[in-house]
Amino acid sequence: MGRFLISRFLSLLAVLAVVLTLTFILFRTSPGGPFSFERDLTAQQIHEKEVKYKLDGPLPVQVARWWGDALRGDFRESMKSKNFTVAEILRQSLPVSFTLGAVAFVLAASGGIIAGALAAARKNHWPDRLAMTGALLAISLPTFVTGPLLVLVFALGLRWFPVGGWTGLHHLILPSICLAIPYGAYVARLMRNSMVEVLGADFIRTARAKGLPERKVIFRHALKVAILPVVSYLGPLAAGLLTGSVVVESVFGIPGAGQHFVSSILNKDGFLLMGAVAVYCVLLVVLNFFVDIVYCVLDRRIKLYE
Amino acid sequence: MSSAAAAMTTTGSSASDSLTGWERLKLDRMAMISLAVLVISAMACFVAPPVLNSLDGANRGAGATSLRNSTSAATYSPPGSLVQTAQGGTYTAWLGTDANGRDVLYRVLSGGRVSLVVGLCAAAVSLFIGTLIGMTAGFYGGKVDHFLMRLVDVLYANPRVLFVLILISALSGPLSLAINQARAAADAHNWLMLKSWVDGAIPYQRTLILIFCLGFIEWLTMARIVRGQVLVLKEQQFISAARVLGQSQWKIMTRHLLPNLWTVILTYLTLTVPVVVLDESFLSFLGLGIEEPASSWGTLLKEGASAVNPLVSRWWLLVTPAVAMGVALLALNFLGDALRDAFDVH
Repeated sequence: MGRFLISRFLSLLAVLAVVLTLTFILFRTSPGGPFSFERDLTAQQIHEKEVKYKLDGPLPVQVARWWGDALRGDFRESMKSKNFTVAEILRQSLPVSFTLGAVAFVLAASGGIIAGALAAARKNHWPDRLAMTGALLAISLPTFVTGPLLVLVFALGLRWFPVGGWTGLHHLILPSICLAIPYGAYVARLMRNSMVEVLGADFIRTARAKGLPERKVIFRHALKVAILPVVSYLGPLAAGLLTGSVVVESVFGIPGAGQHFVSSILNKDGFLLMGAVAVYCVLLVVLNFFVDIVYCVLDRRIKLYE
Repeated sequence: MSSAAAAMTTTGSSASDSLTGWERLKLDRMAMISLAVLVISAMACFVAPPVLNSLDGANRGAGATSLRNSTSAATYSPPGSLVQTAQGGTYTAWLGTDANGRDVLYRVLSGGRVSLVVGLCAAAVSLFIGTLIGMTAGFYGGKVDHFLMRLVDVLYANPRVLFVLILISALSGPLSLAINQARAAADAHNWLMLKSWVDGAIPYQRTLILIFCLGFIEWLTMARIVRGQVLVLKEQQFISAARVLGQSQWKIMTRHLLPNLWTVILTYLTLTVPVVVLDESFLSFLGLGIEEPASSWGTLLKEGASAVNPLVSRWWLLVTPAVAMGVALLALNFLGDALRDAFDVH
């Protein structure tokens, strides 16, 4: 188990290194460049700016210097928001996104697993049809449609929740539901399909033959096995949710981190982009690794030392 | 996921095993309904806008007649009411009008045309790249396979949004430069053919970039699926027979593998279109998608989303395109799922 986890961890680290290096290269080689907004710069001025932002010299050297700084925890200064370091910007916005994402994660995972399991238990009857049509519809609509629709019904119509803002717990509910809907739907579909397969297995027939109540068969016996595909999806799911969503943030007026992913690219703010991607990738790697461990614990059939 | 096909496997598996994929698909009620819905909505999107215009001679997409009259209170109208315009005469906007007095029904239908074309073309691009990479990886195996699959892993780990944004901002400059150069060259040499082509392409620059970029980021799943299928196929005897007979690798790939892959490709093409349409709408939400005056479902939804606010809630601007897109994507997803079940590809 130890050897498997170590090799897995190393390969995840390699992916992290490649993704970040590739992003840096893309940002440095894409036309326009970080200084194209300031017009009419002479070659001399551009060079001075490059020196200031440590972007002079050959590309491999630039990449290496960025890595040197990043490994020491210095993500450099934002190239657009003057006087702010990337670390400061992320430190302000990430807690907001983490809070929202964590609530959405719990909603999506629990809602999806329960809905999927129930749908599979009543396969081809109306609970299944209803849940799966609902899930497909949730996947077919973008969050910037479900968001305003939720606002229209629950904030403007019923007046249960505020329209937007970020000051208290009641501001958390609509955005986290909105964020959770498509992911929850995906989890439900995964769960349903895997549960349907597991319910056809021999050990389930045995459990039923023993006279166990159906509820116990599904939630005690089948769920343990059927949840495995869902577990492996939870890593990317959490990474995506915790880093925020630009759409939900702009619909509900939330000062989260998702906006920085988009604005850093549009503003050609390379270091903020690198910081945001680094956060996402580190989260993804850590969570995927965690998922691997959970997977090992849940499924003893996996040969860990291959 | 398709209920009818699943029902058959439980009730009479021996009967359904003897059916071909197409026969199983035809028995799937939801799939057939979805197909009908798709055909009808596609026809509506492509045929109805010009018909609507010719009905009363008013240009419903332009809204110029009511623009001139924009001070009048009738600029906004809820569904079902008559829109009074000063010069254009009176016509019925069945689903209301937008801020510029444009007919919402007309805009949703013509927006659907753009969304569906972008979706189909981008899915076709992704299909091409995905099939090429997947077949190469599966067929050659070994180091090639290892390298390509690690590449796919790395691209999966990259946030997709980011990748497409970088691509779009990187490509818009060079493309408009290329178009300008082509135009200058056509002017200089008086190549009328090229000139008319280039002039025709100018309004569609953004669309072209979108199609390419979205196709370029959505091929990963296709590559994995095709590779998996090729790995299975290549061990079968008819491929060995082709090898023994001395057929070239190219011929084995195109003559023997591709024909056996096309149900997989068709399935994932159907499932990629909704993903791409969603991506396009997301980009339009960010202001990077289709640009005014052209519209897609994404741009209409963006306008609709901003029309829902505590002051005046013009809900029909959001609900109409949302229903149109929801129905189309739901039908595509249902059909894709049914295809997957019918041909049993996973």
